[in-house]
Amino acid sequence: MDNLNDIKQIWHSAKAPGLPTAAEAAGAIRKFRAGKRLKIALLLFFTLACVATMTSVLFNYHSHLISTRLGETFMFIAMFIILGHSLKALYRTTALSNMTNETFLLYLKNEQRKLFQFQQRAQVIGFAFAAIGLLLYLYEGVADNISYLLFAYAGTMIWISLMWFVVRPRALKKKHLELEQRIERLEKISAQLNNY
Amino acid sequence: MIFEDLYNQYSQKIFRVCMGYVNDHEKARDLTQETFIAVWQNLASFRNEASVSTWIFRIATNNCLKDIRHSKKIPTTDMQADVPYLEDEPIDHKLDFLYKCISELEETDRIIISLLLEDLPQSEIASIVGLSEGNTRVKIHRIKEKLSTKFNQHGQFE
Repeated sequence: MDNLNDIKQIWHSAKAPGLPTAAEAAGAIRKFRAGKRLKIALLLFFTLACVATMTSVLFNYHSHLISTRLGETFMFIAMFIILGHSLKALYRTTALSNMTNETFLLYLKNEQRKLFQFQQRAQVIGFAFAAIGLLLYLYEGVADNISYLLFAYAGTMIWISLMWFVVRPRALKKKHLELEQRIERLEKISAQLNNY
Repeated sequence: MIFEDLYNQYSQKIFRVCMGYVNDHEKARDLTQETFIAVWQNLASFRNEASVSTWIFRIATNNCLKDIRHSKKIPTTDMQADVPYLEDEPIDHKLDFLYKCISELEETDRIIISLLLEDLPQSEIASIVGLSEGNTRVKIHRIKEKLSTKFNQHGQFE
């Protein structure tokens, strides 16, 4: 292309308005990383606070029934599953630097699928533990009064059913659709490299 | 290698490449920043498996590809095809025209032409994109033809 040099001249005339200086960029990056560390620290703090509260209840409220203890344990497990998932999300880094574009596109596709599957699994297991834990935990508090028992369990079962059969499938369907669209897009871009 | 030296040397180039991909100043700035965040994070572990230039451009182009919400072609109706292109147009208009032409290309073509315009050798472009040098040469030839057609349709250079 004879005009390539002309086009290069035009290309190189581009200015970069608003691009920070090196010192400003380094400062911004430090701030960004500090913000990320703060998020992790806050998440850990609130989780530990939650665990401490639950532990103190465990020791101060002397339950008589094994169902209460089991319920507490199950809810602890659910909380740790959620914490683990949140921490993993915060720590997730994308290996951009050592991959060619072609390899990176493949990596992105696989990562998207793995992330979706993991979220599904973590949700199912976490929700199961939380729901069962809650049902077990409730029993001791309402066992003495049949009306309270029926009311508490009916309300809890309705809420669990709503979350499991209505809210969760809708959210999952939406995410799955987004994932498929994203993967389709990646496959289309990937195919461009094989067409010449 | 010091981060600031790398930033001074490559930030403008990375911005132009990102601009070639997204044709949006704000988005190009964001992608440039994301690129240098990754450079910062991975600088200590960089082991010269590839040249610094290849490494940074890989990060930048992978960031562009990752940003798939914006990786759509701008519809051709956005190109003012019936407006004659004048040789003595101010450089900004020529630049806008160039970006519009590039934005009509496929995503990987945009990356390849942007890297070519940044004077990267074809071997390095091949290394960044992940194609063989031969395939890269063919692709570059076809991209040049496409751009040449667009430019010729709207006017000629001196």
